[in-house]
Amino acid sequence: MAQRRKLEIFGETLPAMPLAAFFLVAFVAPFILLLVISLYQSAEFRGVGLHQYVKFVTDGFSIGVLWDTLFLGFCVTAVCLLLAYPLGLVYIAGGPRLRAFILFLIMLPLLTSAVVRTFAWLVILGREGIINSAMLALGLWGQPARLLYTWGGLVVALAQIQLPLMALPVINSLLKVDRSLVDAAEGLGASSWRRFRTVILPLTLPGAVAGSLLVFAASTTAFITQTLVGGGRIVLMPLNIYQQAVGVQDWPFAAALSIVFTVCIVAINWFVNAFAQARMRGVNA
Amino acid sequence: MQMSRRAALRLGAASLASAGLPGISRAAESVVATTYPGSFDEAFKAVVGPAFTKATGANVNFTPLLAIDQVAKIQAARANPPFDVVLFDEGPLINAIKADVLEKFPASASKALADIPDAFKHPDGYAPVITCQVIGIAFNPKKFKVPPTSWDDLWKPENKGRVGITGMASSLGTAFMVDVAKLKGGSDTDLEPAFKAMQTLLPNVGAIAQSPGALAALFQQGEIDIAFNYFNNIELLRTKGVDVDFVVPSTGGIVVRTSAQLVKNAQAGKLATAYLETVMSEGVQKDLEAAPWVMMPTNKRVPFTGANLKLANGLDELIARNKLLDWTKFQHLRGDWITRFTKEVKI
Repeated sequence: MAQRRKLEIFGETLPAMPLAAFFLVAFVAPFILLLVISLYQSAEFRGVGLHQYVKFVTDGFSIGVLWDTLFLGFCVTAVCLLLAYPLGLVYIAGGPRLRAFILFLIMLPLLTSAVVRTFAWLVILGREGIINSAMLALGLWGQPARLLYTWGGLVVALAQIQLPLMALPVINSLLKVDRSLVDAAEGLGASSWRRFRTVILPLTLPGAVAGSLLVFAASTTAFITQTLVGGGRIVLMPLNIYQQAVGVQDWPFAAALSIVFTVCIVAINWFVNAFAQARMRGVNA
Repeated sequence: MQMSRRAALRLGAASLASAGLPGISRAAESVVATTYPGSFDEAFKAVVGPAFTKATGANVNFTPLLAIDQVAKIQAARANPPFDVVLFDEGPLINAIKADVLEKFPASASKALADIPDAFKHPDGYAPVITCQVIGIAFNPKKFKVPPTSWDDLWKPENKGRVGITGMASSLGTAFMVDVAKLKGGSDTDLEPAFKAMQTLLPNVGAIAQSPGALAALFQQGEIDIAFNYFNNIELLRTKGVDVDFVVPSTGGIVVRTSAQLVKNAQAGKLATAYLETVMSEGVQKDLEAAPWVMMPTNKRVPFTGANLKLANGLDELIARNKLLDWTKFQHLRGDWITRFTKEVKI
């Protein structure tokens, strides 16, 4: 009996084996290698210890960069959430044609590479770009404003680029909301804001959390967009790691930075997930 | 079509193997050569690629990368390097030789080497210098009634927000910093005055570009009006109709010697040597020297013409009028400098 059960489990997990093997080779092995490299004391791969991690903690610059990067992820996620819900509500309210059109608009950015989308933002935000030219022509601004290479510009550009990652799960969970619950709330006299806050938002939490985790991870690690729109003025973790690895050729420190960065993002993901699960259990109870 | 399971498996295995082993499936008749992003890349694709194909019947795959990226990528895959021929300025060349990733140049088999002056041959037998780049001031002539004359112009208050710079990962940024340090009382190894000066330059800095090529392109986008840059980058933009011009600072420009080198364990073998022959040859150097590329030739049969005559009548005069830096003195310090520059030069 037990033998048979073992076989069954084996049979069920068998189809996942190729993926697991791929994951092992393409992710776990390099990660272990990274971990090993990060334990070398010097850039010349001499001595073993936690020197690189001590360097990270005691060097105020790198911690500041890490904090900036996580804060960037938070800002972009917040902007995406604020944009995705109204978009999703319009989608839900619309007929099949409007829905198809909105879906097409959401998918459109995914059909071009991140590099192309980023270059579009360079054209929009530049000193002689679309926004500045329009504002100058309308006489609203006396001189071109600096939009490119600024924090605000970077958040807006990243939010647009990552929006599909938020909009799709949010729309998906909005579609699953039982219409009669919203109608019931309306019948009982709940205002539209209250209906959103107490019915729609809790029920679509899984979609919002999934979208947030995707957007957070994607925007904190978006090397190309961060580098092109942020320029050399805004230093974030991906650029910092790249510079340490390639420019300075200090692979152990770059590896340590990568490990710390990965652990931070995984920890945040885990924490948000745990929080959301607890909340959802509360909703279902 | 019916296909037995075994045949399908075999086909699948074969296609997996060919995808996983690009080295084996790659056509033998090609060379992978690096260029620098910007005018170098355009010039090499337009001139060297066709000339090499004509001479050998083989193709070149060009990959634009900064020199430090090239060293890093070769070091990461020594046994199976991603390039056959690399392009290095003086600093990265020192690193690459130290890291033992380069092959010496088979001088006895080379015809073109005889046309390269001894001063540009490598003392330890690596491949010779193929071109010299000149660093000076790039500016937008529409925004400057009087052209700038020295590095000090970058610091002038009227240039607030209009200055572009690039970091010390490039030869350009490093050469600029070393020159500024020396002009302000520092030395090849003491960059303290230059780092201090960067702090006072920050209010004027409108953009920090990732590479010299990207820095030049900022003129095109109208992001900046003055910067330090290479003559050939700027001249190419000027001939494309961008409002940009170049002057050598009154204290002298900086000349950077660039060489193409053979990578150890490269797969192209003799073709890589043939590629170097092509780059050094009179015909190719002549075409690279012509507008719009204006790359300074090191082949002594090729005279300066056109825009290059604005800087000098020939290579000897160019070097006499400008400055060379002794990269052996400070190349080992660059890692620390790059880190410090990134930390200090930001808003």
